[in-house]
Amino acid sequence: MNQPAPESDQTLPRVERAVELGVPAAVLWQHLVDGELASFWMGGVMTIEPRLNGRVLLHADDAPVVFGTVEELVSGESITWTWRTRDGEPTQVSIVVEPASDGSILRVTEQLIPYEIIHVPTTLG
Amino acid sequence: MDVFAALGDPTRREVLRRVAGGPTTATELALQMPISRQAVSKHLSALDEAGLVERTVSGREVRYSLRAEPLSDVVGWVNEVGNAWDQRLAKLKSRLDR
Repeated sequence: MNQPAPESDQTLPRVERAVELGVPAAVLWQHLVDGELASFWMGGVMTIEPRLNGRVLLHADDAPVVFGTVEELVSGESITWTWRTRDGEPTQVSIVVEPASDGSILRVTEQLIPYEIIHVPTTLG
Repeated sequence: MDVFAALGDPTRREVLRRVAGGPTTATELALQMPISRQAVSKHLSALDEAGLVERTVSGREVRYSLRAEPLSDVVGWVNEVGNAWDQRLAKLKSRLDR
């Protein structure tokens, strides 16, 4: 019995959102992969290393730290990471940035993933 | 096994979908699915452990039926994560669209 890859599994609980923004896709992308800029909107201090296997960390005052790893990256276009809190459910976040007539669109999907496929960094540094 | 872990396996979700269609046994499920009765039993045990199915023993037969209550955890997760992204995207929009 083959386990399908998480990105092909459409049946796990998931959340999907999209927002249209009045800035070019390149500007939007920077607000996603630059930790300092991402921290303004992600709801906590965001650390993100925009490379394959780079670390992702979100440290909010009122919530447990969420930590994980970049799984896929097409610079300027899309990023996928998996993350979890120490006691929480592991999830996969995929964000796609695309150009639109008056700016750009950000599409985000967050879905639960099976435990066995998450790659948790060994240090939280 | 908690409800999220129990739902983390596609075959197990398929077993649960079939159980949701009406009380059934491991033998009946194995006839409908391309997996062995032993494999079906293993998935049913995991679903039972997560509280997602109820076992009813009658004679030599064990029938399984859906227990939907734990699925409200999933609804809670969807609401919580959805709210978080709504807040984030609203902040992003107010920052970039000014």
